[in-house]
Amino acid sequence: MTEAAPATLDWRALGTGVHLVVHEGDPAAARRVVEEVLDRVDRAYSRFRADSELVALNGQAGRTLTVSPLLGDAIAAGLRAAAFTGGAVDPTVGRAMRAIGYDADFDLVRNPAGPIALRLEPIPGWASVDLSPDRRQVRVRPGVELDLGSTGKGLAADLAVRAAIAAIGGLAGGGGILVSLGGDIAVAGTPPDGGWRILVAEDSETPADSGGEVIAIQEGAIATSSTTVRRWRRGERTFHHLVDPRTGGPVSSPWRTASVAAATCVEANTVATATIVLADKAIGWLERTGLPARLVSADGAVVRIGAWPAPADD
Amino acid sequence: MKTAARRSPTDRDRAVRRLRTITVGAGLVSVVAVGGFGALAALSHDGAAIGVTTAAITTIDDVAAATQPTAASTTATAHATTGSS
Repeated sequence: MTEAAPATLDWRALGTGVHLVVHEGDPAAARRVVEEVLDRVDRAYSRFRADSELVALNGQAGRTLTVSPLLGDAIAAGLRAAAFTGGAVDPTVGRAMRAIGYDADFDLVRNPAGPIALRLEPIPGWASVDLSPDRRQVRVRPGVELDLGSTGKGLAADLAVRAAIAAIGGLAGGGGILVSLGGDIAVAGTPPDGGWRILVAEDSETPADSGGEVIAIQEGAIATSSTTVRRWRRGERTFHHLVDPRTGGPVSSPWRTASVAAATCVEANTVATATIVLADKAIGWLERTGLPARLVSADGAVVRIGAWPAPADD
Repeated sequence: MKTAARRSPTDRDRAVRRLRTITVGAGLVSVVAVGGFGALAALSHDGAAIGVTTAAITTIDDVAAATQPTAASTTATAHATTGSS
């Protein structure tokens, strides 16, 4: 008997596209909980809503504040990413992001505008953040602003897929879920026959039926970071959103795109971003992580790391 | 096209477990030393595996090895696209 095609749902949240695929489960129930998760994430750590917990925290640097479990966990994820990547991925890039013009939702930033006066400086670094062992008390040093963009979307995808699989009957229910937030993908449960097929592209808006390299995963997550999509002009200068913590400006890297497979989306997200920031040290570092990765160089050459497969011969 | 050397499954699993179990005691030991990034700092948090409000997302040691992608045919539409946004 031919397997029924999974249900797909698309909408926008967190300033990006949400793509939900439900295999043998109630898509409405799955969407409902994913929307709830993303709303909680937005309220907890959006940098672009005045009433988010993160904005409130950034506005009270120097004070020890009690935060929600979700924000505490998100900050912990950012700090752990910084520890693992030696600071290449660091949550204290908030001021640097504003300094290079990324000071609003990207839909507003993307339009060209006049030149900005640049004052770049190394980011404060993750040691400027104190998080209590129970992740409920946070203090950031005066002058420090947190931005959880490098780990927050991946974490949100992990949370959403866990909630969605529970909503359709859990792992024992026989169904499967794929959640993509702007191309950062987490899956859970029973995949369709042959696994979850994922088109590997530089832009997450590329239609899934476009030609290109397709990989399949049975579990876990895939995330992609790239300097080619989230770019904007201010005067004669072009910026992108991946900050070099050493300079506070957009990183100059031989890699323009990195896709990484990992057990969770927050891990994949972390490693993909770190790959671009680490530049000419990326390959050796990736090999030490042991994670499969696909890199695209600035001139378009593709390099596959570890167990990332070569394309199928169709 | 260039493909870097593959790690053994044991090495890969060990590396993934290291990603998940960064322990901070009196100071921090950076998992990977990367030139140009300082990375040694005393932290007041325990660096334990992430636990989130609904479920543990990243856990320690008992989690299966990182997912293994396989090449798939392009004749069928993909379920999703990975890319940047």
